[in-house]
Amino acid sequence: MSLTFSLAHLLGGIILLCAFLQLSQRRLAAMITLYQAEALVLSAAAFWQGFAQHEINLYLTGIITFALKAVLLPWGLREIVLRFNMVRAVETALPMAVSMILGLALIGIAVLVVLPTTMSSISLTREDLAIALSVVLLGLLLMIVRRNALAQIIGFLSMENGLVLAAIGMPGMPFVAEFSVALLVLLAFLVVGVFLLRIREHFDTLDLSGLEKIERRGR
Amino acid sequence: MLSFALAFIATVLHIALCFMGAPLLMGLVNKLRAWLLGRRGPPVLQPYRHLAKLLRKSTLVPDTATELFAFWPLGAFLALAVATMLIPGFATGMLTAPAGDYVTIVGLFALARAAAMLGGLETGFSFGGAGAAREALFGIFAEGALLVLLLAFALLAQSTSLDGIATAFRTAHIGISVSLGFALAAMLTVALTETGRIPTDNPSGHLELAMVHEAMGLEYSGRLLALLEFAGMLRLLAWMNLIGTIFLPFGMARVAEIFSWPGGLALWVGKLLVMAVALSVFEVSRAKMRVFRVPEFLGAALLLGMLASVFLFVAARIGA
Amino acid sequence: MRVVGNSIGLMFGLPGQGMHLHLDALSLLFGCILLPQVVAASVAGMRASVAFWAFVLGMALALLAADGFTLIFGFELMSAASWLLVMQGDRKPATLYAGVAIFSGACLIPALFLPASSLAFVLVALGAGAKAGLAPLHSWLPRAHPAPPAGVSALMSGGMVKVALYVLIRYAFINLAPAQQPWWGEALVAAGALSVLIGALRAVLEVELKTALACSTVEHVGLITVGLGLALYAKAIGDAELSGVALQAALLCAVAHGLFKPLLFIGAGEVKHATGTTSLNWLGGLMRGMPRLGALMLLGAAGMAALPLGPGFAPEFLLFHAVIGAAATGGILARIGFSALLAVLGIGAALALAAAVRVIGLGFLGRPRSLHAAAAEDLRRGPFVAMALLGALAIPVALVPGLLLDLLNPVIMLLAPEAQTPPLAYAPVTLLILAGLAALAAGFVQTRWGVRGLREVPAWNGGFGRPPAWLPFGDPHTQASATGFAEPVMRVMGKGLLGAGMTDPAERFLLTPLFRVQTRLIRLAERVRRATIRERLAFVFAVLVAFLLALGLGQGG
Repeated sequence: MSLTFSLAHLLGGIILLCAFLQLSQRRLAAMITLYQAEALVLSAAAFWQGFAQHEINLYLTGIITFALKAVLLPWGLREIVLRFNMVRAVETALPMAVSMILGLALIGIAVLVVLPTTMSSISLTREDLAIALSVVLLGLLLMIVRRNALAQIIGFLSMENGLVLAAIGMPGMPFVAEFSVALLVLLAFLVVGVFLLRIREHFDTLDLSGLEKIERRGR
Repeated sequence: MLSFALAFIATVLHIALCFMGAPLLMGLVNKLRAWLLGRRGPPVLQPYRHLAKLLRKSTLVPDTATELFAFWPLGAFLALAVATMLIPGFATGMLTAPAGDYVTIVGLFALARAAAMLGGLETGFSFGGAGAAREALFGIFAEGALLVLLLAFALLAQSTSLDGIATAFRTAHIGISVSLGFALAAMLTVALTETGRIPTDNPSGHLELAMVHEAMGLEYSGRLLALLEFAGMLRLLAWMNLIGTIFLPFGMARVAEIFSWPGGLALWVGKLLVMAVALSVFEVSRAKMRVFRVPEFLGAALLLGMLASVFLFVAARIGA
Repeated sequence: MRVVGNSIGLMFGLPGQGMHLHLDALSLLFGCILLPQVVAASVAGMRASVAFWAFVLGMALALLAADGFTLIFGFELMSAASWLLVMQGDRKPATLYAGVAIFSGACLIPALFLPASSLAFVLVALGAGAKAGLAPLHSWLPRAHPAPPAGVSALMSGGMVKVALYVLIRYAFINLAPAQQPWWGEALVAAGALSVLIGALRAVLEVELKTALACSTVEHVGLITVGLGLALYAKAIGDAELSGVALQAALLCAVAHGLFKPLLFIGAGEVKHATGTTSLNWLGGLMRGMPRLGALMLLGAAGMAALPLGPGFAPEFLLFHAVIGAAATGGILARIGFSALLAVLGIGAALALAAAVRVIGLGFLGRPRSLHAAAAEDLRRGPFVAMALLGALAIPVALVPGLLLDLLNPVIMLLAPEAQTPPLAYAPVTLLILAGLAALAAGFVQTRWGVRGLREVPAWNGGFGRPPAWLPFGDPHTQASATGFAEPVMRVMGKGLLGAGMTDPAERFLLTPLFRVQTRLIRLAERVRRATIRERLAFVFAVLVAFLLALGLGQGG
């Protein structure tokens, strides 16, 4: 039992580490690599949970996670980076240190929220829930502190990873839900990809600060 | 009496091995790096020859230096030598164990850093001053991160001495914990910075403007340079011992049981080898970062150290 | 003079009451901290000043006071005399200094006569904290402490802030003990952590030597206060060992700081005497002309940087252990808070190291940056004796802190009767022996395989050419300046915490609004002064009506 727990924790911890480090990166390539690592560990976590809970569905989740998020999406993202020539560092809306301290505060809040509500249940779910919630919050933070549209997408994807992490930790989570979430994300990715192409065609850049200016002026 | 004799022998053995082996470790890392880059590289024993050569060269003192010029390399060397003696290597329970508190070790590293910085400022030329200023900046975040990490270790091991931490972690009631994973990431970041490796500093760089650690020793020559270089080798070994003691304490010998020594020694050498390989692979796969990115790098380490103690709290009742 | 119980009554003072003096372990300890500084400052050249001896008398009275009146009398005498001394040096900070002294008096006087309560604690903390230079009430200290002559600066930094802390300790731990709350300690810890961060950061950035030293005093006051706050917190929640360790840390830090900071200040005064400036941008290479001063300053700087084998390390060591002990007690918020505190203390220690290295490396090593620095002559006899005395006393603090901690036990028992004091795990003598062994080994290798001798040559300097003959020490602009050395820290931390103008946040958020309030009050007073008789009558009448209304309502209800 202790091995099941500690390995699950470790995998969750690595996912959180990747999500946190995404905040500290300036380059899209590094963020994509971290996202890929996060997805890889997530699929490993899904396999491990499937093995531990004897759930065949979780293996399927792992396979989908691996194929979709660890291979397909990073490839697509890298393709976009190359095509739009965004190899250089992207602009941040907040100083690095501030966004990292905010990230730490969010993790603290997640822990604070999860601790009392799940005091009765076993600690496996407690820690996993805290990690999953932290990953979700960090993903949202990433979307806020980056001006670049692609970085915001990575934040969104990372947030979705947190949801999946929460789902696989819960025994008895229906597989259909996960599947639909995964499909939804893929769909969103496609839509955003097309959208990006349109932005690019019109404005010649993916930096959204110009759009923000227009938005403010319209108000 | 017998246990004291055993502890004494083990301590002397540890100190002798560390002092004799530090250049070998540096030579090994250099060789591995060269191999990974597709070059043949210098012989593994090259650092010994280098030190012997420096000892035989005459020592030059710049005319703008003060009387303390010769004192700073000695200070840096002595601080790191004491730190090396205090950090356990192949065994726990050595005679130096009671003095080996984690905070003392951090203080000794700071002392070595201060001596090196003063050595850089000594001659009053620009490269040494620039190197010292950068080192001061890195030190601020590195020391903060190191001390934050201590909280996680002390709460897990109920001890702040390195010997106590190693003993507690070896008995494996702790298992694999998320906290220790975070702590390891933070510790490695600080270790890379403090030992002056890529990505924060390039140990084999030749451009004075980009140097940090090397720039502070530019004006030294002969036996003083030998002291500084040897101090650098000791620093690498001390950091590897520190990481090995805290994160890989399995198989460490107990001083009172002499039959556990050979296994402990063999495992110690093995751990150092593994860390040397890991360091070389990491170094050749990364590029050096800009100086003003390093505080961000170390700041992430500091926050990871805080995360480690936060998550300790979440998992506090796992054992129950 | 008559003896009542264990206190001594003096025949003057408040009519019918007199003044009462009393000596217990706490006063004795702070008296012992004060004594070497007074001797050193008087030897260093303050013997003939009346204001100086009034200053000393005020501090002694405050320490020995057995009643509130004597305490306030001594405290205010100390403030007034030091104000005179500050004014002798520089008129500008003296006004601010007087304002702070009045503020702290206004907080302390009601507090001493209030019953034990949280309100009394807040007032004592504000009054004593303002006098000690505790953030956010610290911004006067880096202006006022460097102004007077060096001996007085030394006594103000090493002694006066200690007297203020003594008042804080006396009231928080003994007189107000019946009403104590855990949040008192937490508030002190927060203020102390803020002082550590701001003081240490400004110590790295300031160019004036004496200002940098004063900023470092703010840092050390912060360290002592963090220790006191932890002890207060531990006492309130009943943790015997934690309160013992935290008190040890705070008191030992007070002892150590009382030795090395006056030493550094007297040394700074000598630098000023020899070169005419204390700006690090105009010094350099003083070790050549002033070797004795340089060696003593090195000792003081080792204490300021809290380096092992120096006098400042043992308190820092104990403080880290106290914080770790405190982190094990509370819930998740306390855990996060204490790990942040640990980070702040670690960053503060490294900043103090950078500040000390900057003082030594730029002031005493390298090339002279001005002709005055190049021609400096060594210490005069008086200051040398003073500094040597303080340095000699600092050596036992550095090497046998364990023995000193045993001497502190009665004080700790007085402050927290149930406190336990575990033995110190830091053994400087062991470290010294190990270092000696390593030095022996290095010496052996050197004599066996090495060659002897040193040869003096022009510096290599990366292959740059020699400076022209009319620049005997080369171009001063080619070596790192004090501003340049601090630039990386300024860029990474200073801009974020102090803003681009490098002003103290306390000045921006406290002094500037206060100044605005003052202007507004003056305008109001001016309006009142210009009021017509009719308006004045109306005002008095309105007050009368309001008073009658209140009276009637009070009786009717």
